Amino acid sequence: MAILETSETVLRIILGTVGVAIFGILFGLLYKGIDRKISAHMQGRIGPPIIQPFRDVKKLFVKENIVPENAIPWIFNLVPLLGLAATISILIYLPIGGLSPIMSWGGDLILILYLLIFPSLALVIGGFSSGSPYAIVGAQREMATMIAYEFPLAIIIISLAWKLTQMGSENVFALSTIVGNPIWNNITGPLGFIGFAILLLILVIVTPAELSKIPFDAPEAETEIAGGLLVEYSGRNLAMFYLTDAVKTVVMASIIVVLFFPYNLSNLPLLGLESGSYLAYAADIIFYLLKVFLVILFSVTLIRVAIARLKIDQIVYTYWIPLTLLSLVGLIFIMWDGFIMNVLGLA
Amino acid sequence: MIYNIPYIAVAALVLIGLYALVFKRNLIKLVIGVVLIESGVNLFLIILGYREESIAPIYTSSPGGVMSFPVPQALTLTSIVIGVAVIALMLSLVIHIYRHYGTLDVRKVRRLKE
Amino acid sequence: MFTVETGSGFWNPIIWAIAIFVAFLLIYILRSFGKKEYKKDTEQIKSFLSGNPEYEKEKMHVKASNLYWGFTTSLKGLYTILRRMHTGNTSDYVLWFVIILAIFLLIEVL
Repeated sequence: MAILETSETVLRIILGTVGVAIFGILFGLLYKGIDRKISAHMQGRIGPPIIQPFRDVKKLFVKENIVPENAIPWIFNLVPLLGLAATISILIYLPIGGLSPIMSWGGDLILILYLLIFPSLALVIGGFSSGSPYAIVGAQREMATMIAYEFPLAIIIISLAWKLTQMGSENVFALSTIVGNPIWNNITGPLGFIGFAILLLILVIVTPAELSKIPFDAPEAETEIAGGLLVEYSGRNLAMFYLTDAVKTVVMASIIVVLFFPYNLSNLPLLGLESGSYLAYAADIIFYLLKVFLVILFSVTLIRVAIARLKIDQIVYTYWIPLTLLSLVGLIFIMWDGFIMNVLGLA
Repeated sequence: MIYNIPYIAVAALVLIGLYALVFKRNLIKLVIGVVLIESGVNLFLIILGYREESIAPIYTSSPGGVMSFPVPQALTLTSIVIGVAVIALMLSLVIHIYRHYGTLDVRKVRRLKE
Repeated sequence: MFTVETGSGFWNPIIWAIAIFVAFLLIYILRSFGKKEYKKDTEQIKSFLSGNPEYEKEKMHVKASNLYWGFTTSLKGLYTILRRMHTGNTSDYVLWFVIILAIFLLIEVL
């Protein structure tokens, strides 16, 4: 009956959201701790223990929640909740741990691209409602960074979808289609391989700008504008923004893993695992967590300890001129891939 | 050839109006340029409706024969009235500018830019 | 029933609405473990200025056009040319009209 099916779907959504919320928060804070430990060792110091972010959140809950006199109270208190809720709601569309997503027919990649704007927008609105000139400058810088990095991101998503359309799939933006046809199986020559490698490199460079990490850290610059957007936030609202940052790291790394490396360990015949058993699920999840850790290592930690902070006009220049041209070059290589191979007679 | 003279007149009107609009600095002269262009366009509309050897399109006590096309003549009346409204508004704005700036030179009324 | 199907993807807004409602409730409950009160009417609620002198509000306001500084400084070559072209004078804009119209007519004829 339709009522039974609808209620089963609704129950699945509710339990799934609670499940991915717990997963996102726990593993987000864990990866944040690992990232801090590794970057500390790279800089020659010891660094905090790995569970330090949990202690940070616990301490932030004990602090007072100050609303400044120049702020608008209802926006100031509402916006951190919306940012974190929207970030959690992305996770139900992604295939986490190699399993199929909770709602595989409810959303596609375009929806995820839109929902990724929400946490940054929540930060911007929070900054504008804080009533301090430092916060206004930080919010304007965050808006400019958002405008800058959306351009290469859109080109990457469109080139992947174009390649899948050329292969003849339908529903190219649906995540089940993208996971079902890994793109490294679709290339026919070295030109396509170079094209996809360029796109992967640009997506790895777009990730720190989405997460507001150094070197694209201008909105939250601690040394220049005294904390930037978050200068007036304290206590439990700051804990919400901290958690938003942690969960968004997991979301961005999951998107990179899903788009470029959607392989499952239990499909390898040499491990001898029969599909559907608990051991296969456990192996898939551990492999997925390892992949996410590697992506976070390369895109957040390594770039963070190597490069200093860029100014906002340097950020806009970096994303609009060199990276956009490079991604267009990658798209052209992908388009010429099959054609060149046919011409050279090697297809 | 004689039937082309009104078209040449239209072209002359529009060109003189454009010259006044582009190269003159006094605000009143710019308004006169706009009026000239509008007059040229209205004349063009009426000229398009002319047929050879035709009479005015009026039915009462007409001598009979081919009548020229009446629809553009009606539309041109509407266009003339619209032109009157636009010119009235432009001139009132020019009066306000003169009251505030004391001058009508286009290069001097620049307070909005800086 | 409520699903939007474009040619290459699909989206169901009701599912997302339920998901974000549940997430919002969860986060609200999580946030209520924190502390709500603060000392009002003390020094705490003033804006943080890190030692700079405080003027009245009109002089301390950051203009909204400050947002464009990043874009205009990074694409400086383009914007100096454009700023010189925009004089604010109607006659110059009509001159640009006529020049471009002449180019179009030339391309049409040839």
